[in-house]
Amino acid sequence: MTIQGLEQALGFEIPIIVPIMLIIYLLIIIGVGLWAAGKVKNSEDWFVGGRSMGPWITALAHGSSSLGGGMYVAGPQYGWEAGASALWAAPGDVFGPILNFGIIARRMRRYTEKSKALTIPEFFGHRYDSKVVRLLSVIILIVAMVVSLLVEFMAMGILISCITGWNYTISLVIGCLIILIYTGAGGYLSVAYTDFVQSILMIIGLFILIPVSISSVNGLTGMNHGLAEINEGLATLWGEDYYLKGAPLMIAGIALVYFIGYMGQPHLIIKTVAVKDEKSIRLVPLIGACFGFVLAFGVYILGMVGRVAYPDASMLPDGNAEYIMPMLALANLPAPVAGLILAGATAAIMSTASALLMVIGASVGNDLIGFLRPNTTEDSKMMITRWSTYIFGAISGAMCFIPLFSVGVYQLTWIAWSVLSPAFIPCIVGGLYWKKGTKGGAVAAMLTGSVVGSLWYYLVQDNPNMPSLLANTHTFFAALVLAIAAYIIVSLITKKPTQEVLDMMDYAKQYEDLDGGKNTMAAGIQMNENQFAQLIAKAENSECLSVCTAK
Amino acid sequence: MARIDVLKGLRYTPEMFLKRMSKSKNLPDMTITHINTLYSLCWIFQFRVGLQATKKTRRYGGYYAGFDEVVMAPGKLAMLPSSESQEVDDVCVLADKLTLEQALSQSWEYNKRGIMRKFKTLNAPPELDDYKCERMYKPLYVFEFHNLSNDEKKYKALDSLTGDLIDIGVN
Repeated sequence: MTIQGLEQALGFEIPIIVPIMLIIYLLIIIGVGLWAAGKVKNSEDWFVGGRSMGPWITALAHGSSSLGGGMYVAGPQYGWEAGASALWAAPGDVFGPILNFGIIARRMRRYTEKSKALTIPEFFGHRYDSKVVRLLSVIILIVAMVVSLLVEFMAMGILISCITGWNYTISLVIGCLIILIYTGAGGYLSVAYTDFVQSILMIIGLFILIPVSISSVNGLTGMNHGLAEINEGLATLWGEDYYLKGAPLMIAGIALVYFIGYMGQPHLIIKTVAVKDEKSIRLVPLIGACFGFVLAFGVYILGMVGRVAYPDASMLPDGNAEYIMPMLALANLPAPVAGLILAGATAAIMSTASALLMVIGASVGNDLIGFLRPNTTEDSKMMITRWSTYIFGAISGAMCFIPLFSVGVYQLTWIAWSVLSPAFIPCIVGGLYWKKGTKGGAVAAMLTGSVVGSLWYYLVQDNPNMPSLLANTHTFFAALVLAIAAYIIVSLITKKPTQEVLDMMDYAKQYEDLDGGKNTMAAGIQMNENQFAQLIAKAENSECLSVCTAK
Repeated sequence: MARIDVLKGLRYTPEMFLKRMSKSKNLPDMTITHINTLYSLCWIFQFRVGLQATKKTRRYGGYYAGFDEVVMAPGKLAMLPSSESQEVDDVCVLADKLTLEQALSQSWEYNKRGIMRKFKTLNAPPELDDYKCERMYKPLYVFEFHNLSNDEKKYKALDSLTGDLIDIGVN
């Protein structure tokens, strides 16, 4: 797509202030990233920010990492295509953080802190007492994360080329380079701090863009009428031509993919490992849910508004709905504000991409190398981690040009989530809550979840010979149910975990505050003033027991 | 006056500390005086522990454990410490920090984990079958550090068990 295509679709030239805003913003982000890089002193700082993150930083970093390019570019695209039925996916982003921090965070933080695990595969390796589980999780994770990263890079390329008018390839390469520089330099610390800055910008941007866009189509009533005129089903939760009617398992899949899917995403789970203390964990779900509410509902509604404003694909640049959000911003807002909002969108993509890169780097540097060469020093691990973020980032960037992956940002997001989350959810939740969960169960769940997640759409959903019940079952739903079943069945018939693991689970289960309650008295000598005065007075009145005068 | 059981045979004494300090060249104009002795409670437990070796076989083992209220930490004991009954000034006896139940629970939890680590093949976690508790006090030697150059006095206590020099918290 060229700038002319976008300008033609918009009907006016893009003002120069828009790219200037973006460039200023990108420079600020690189500055924040490099400042955070200076604070990294050891591998714990790099991987999990020294386990010192407060609730606001954690919640906003979690939010902006989860709602990245997938939301700013793919969300409006999905809203444009599916109309009001896209809203099925929105509650997931509200409840996702609540589930993640309500169910997993406390136990995960305690377990990983005690077992000194820095990554999710390392947690798997310890919990299931198996190198095979750790290695398998690393492989699944790297494959799925590289695909997720590809999505973010593509979205980044689209936005930068939209704003600057540069060629898509150049935009993509520049976007990749910026992300790689600050993630590679600062690790988790720089990712968390830049995410914090970026999420604030994202919220401000959407708070301006959503009301303005809705009012441009005569409010929510106008939007509903407009959608109903295009296709009656678009204004309902049943979707275009009522395709979701009579497909409850499809709806369940759309709703659950983000609702439960959050619990299987290592780049989000790692945020629970990095939280400072349990008190902070309590605040995070609330902040995260508010953030998710604004963003998730906002982006789908933007897509619906975009459908009313640009009802036909021929009105979009290259017939592609991925450009809906930048188009709405440029068409409805003054140029500097539009520039700021598009910078916010770029921010969202960058924060997700950097979080994904972090997880990939950590998996290679900490898990894969730890497995292949256990005696590697911490410095070497850090160096390998940094280099693997660069290498896998470059691989992912190069994959954007392979035609196989040109199916669109939203589709790729779903595929990546459907491969990873069903494979990891039973192992993470079961690993923390179910003492009978074994390494056999974990291997079975990982294999079933990832294989079903990657093949279900092509072999079952897309196959006209399949019965309608199966064909109408969402990939994520099918993969998750089968993975959970595999985890439970295989765990029940295999050898139970070691006592050490069970003890660790007991430890993770305990509440920090209750533990603290037992030790309300501090260590050391404590006495009241009166007792101390008597002690000294008694000594002064009696003969000294022994004295020495130093030379 | 209070009658307490004071632990015997502890390694660190005030004389050793003063001898060591007298060799220091970094404390000019400093007079160090042993002015008094405090007594802090150590809970000493004898546990009778049920060990479920297999589903049907249960064995019993004896373990000694303790909880030191100065460091607020439980510990394992290789042997039962000896003590002698002494009459000391009430002011010198530090107040209890824990109740028997709290000290027992923390000592048992700590020792239970140790036992589980030692016997990996147990059929079930060990159970506390019975226990005996003794309250023994360890001496904490209070020293006055008098800086003659500015006539400043500070007080610290030497832990007779660990050799640590501890601040005295006054509230």
